[in-house]
Amino acid sequence: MNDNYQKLFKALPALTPKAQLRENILARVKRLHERALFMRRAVFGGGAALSVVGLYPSISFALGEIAQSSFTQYASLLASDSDVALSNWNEFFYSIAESFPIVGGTLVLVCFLLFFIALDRLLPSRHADALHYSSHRFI
Amino acid sequence: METSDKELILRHLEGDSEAFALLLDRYLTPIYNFAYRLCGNAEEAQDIAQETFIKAWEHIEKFRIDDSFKTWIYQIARNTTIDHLRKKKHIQFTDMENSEGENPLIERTADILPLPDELYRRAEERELLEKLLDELPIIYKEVLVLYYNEELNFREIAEIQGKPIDTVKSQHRRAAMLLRKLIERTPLKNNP
Repeated sequence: MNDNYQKLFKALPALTPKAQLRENILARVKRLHERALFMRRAVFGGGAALSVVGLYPSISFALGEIAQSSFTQYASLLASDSDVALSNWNEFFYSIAESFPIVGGTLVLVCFLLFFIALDRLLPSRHADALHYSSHRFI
Repeated sequence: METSDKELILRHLEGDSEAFALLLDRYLTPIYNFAYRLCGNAEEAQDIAQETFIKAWEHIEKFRIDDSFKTWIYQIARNTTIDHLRKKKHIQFTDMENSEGENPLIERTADILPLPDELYRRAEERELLEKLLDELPIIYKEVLVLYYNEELNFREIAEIQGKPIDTVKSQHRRAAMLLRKLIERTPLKNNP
C-alpha cells in the first residue's frame, strides 16, 4: 500500500553536509571541554587551597581548646596508666568524650574532608569523567 | 565488525576522545538530512545539526546506556529543530488541527489511501516533492521523513516524539493523506 510513498521518498537525495561542519562541531566540543575543565580546576582547586588555608586556624583553635580542657591529661593517663583507665573504662570514656575539643576537632575534620573531596574531583580517574580528553586528538 | 553505539558511548565516558568523533561520523549526515527536510534550508540545517551534537555531548552522561542512541539523537534534533522554527515562527498547523496535532475530521476517516501510480508519477520529481513537503505542517513532514526517509519504525518515531504509538500511526495516516491531496492538486507533467 505504501510502496509508492516509499519510492517517492527515495527520490529525495541524501544530502551531504559541508566537511567543515564536522570540524566546527569538534572544535566547539573541544572549546567546551576546555572551559569545563578550567571551571572544574578553578572550583575544586580553589576549594582544595581554601581547605588547606583553613586547616591552620582550625588546628590552632583545636589546640587552644585542648589546652583549655583536660583532654591531654586524660590522654596521658591512658598512655601512662592504661590499666587504671581501662578498669574504669566506662567513666574514663565519658570523661575523655566530655573533654574532647568538639568545635576545633569538627573544624579540622571538615577541612580535611573538603580537601579530599576537592582532590578526588580534580583527579581524572572517575567513571563519569567524560571531560578527561586528550585535546590534541580531537581534531 | 562495526563498533556499537553503546560501546562508543562507554568509551567516550571513559575518556576516549575518538569515540564521540565516531558517533558524529555515524550520525551527522542523517541528522543533517532530517533537519534539512524539516526546515528546508541548508544553512539552518547545519546550525541545527551542530546544536544537536553539542547538546548530545553536554548531556551524554545522562543518557541511559540501554536506550537507543539513534532515537535519542533524533529526539534532540527534533526538539532543536522545533525550537529553531518556533523562534522563526515557522511552525504551522493545519486549519483543523489543535496544538497537539490532532485533527478530529481526518481522525475519523478511513485508513490511509494508497498512492496510485499516476499520482506517484506526478510527484516523483525531486524539486516538486520538496516543494510539496514544504507545504506540509511540520508534524506531518516530520513523521513522513522519519518513516520513509530515515526508515525508522513507528515505535522509534513514537519514542522520538514522546507520543503514544497510535498517535504516531494516525499522524502518519493523516500526513500521507494530506500529501496525496497536495499531489492531486499538482498538474500533470507535460501539461501546460
